[in-house]
Amino acid sequence: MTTDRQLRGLSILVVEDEFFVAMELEDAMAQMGATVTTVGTRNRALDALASARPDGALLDVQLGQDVSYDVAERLIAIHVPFIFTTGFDRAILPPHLRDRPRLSKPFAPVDLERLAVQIFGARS
Amino acid sequence: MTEIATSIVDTIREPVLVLERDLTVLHANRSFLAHFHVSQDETLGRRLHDLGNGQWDIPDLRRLLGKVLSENESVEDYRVEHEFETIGRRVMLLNARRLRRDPDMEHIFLAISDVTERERTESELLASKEFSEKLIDSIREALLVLEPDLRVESANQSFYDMFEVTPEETEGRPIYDIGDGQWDIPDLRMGLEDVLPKERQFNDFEVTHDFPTIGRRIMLLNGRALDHLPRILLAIRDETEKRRHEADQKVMVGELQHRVKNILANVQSIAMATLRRSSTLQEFEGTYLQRLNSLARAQDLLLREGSGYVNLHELVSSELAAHGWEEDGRLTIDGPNVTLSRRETQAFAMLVHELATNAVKYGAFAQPEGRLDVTWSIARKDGNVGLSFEWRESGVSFDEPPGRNGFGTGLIRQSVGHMLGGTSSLDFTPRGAVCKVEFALEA
Repeated sequence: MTTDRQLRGLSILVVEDEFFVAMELEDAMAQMGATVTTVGTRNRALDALASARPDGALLDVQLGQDVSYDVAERLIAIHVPFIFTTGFDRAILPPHLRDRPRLSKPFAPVDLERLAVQIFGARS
Repeated sequence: MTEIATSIVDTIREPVLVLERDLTVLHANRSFLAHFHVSQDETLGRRLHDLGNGQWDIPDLRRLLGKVLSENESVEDYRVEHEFETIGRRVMLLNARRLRRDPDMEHIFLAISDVTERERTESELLASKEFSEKLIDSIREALLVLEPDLRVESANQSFYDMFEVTPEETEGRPIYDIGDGQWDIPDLRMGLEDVLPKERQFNDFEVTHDFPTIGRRIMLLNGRALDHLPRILLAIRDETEKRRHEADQKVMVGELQHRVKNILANVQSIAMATLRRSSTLQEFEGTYLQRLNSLARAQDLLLREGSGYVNLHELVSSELAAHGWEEDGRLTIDGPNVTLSRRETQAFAMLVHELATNAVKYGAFAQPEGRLDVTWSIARKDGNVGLSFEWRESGVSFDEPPGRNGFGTGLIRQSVGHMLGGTSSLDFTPRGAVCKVEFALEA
């Protein structure tokens, strides 16, 4: 199965504070045909959501000294499907966010692609 | 001696000797013979100090029978300690009495009470009392000795220290009354009143209680009802600090795990990003390993500084040193003392690494006239401390403009903004590359 272009026409917000990891996520999403916006801080993520509603989001939990729970809540409020990307164990998430799709870091590119198609692809 | 007198002497449990005035043994009762392991034949008719190879030749005894008894009719509880050949060291209390029927007929009645065992038991009792008292006082756990009605008989020093109370307000009072009723704890009542009477002991009874003076404490209680003494021992271990420490430890381990995973994610992403932008495996190898080494250097600096903060000057000079540049006529590093957080250190190490890599490839480090000035300043703005950092190369002439859209260039332009929320620019002036970075330092 090829995942090439399976996100064609979708806009994806990547929220990831580590530059290289952000680039990799951005590259992967772009390669699947998505239009990608990448931000590294909680404030810029909230700003991005205020100006445009993406079709999906990859959301890191720890952003510098902040956690991204309110970004997650905002995404839920505006019905944007998202995937947590984190090195944290699921148990550290607050109960109401624990059942959200989650990609454990470091991740295998194939897992990212499969999950992205599953969570974002169905929307197109 | 009359038969009746002999009978009386023989029925006495204590060893008794009847002596002539010259200390010849006239009679020895059964108890004497048994106690000192001697026979009648080797005893009767012989002088006291000749008995049993002279083992009764005891200076204290001679003094008693000689001088003391000549001045008194009787002597009681005269204490003699002696090492006997057959039966070892003995402590004896002697009662002696002169029996004189007429001036020529004088007998000495000597009753020997062996108190060796008694004294040893007494001294053992004393020793065990001292032992338990010192033990109770030396242990770090707080310990209460309670009477059956749950009055405090005594408490050890640890108890007074731990709960900040005095012996005066503790001893003799019911446990539930001491310290304004702060020990009237339902769980403790259950342990003392329900469990102890039935089970005689309880172990690791966990009690959490808010004490007015010392605050919330988590305690482990051990209780023992003594079997041979109507007393209860209550040992109290304060677990509060230990529990707090364990919780901290858990957070720290979680934090560490997260960092390790983050670093692994970073290493993976650096590999992927570098791989995508390398045209040959050889190119990948060089660039990738250099980036990894730079990451490792930043970790080293962070580890070396236990505080988790790294000096900016040190960070820049160590990264440049790794590229073969020391501060000399062609390189200056100058700015006020600035410390960077873990995150800032990682972002900055990456930035300086890419700048230095470019400088080695085609910038100041690649050309004979090239020089580099790294400077920074800080300014307070909106309650934050802003850092303005400048990397200025000069004496560089470009044959052709360097790859303006390469990965390294992109990283220089974006990473600081991305990771630290600031701005960075990279320009190639006719004299060389100039990079300017501005961001607010973490509080």
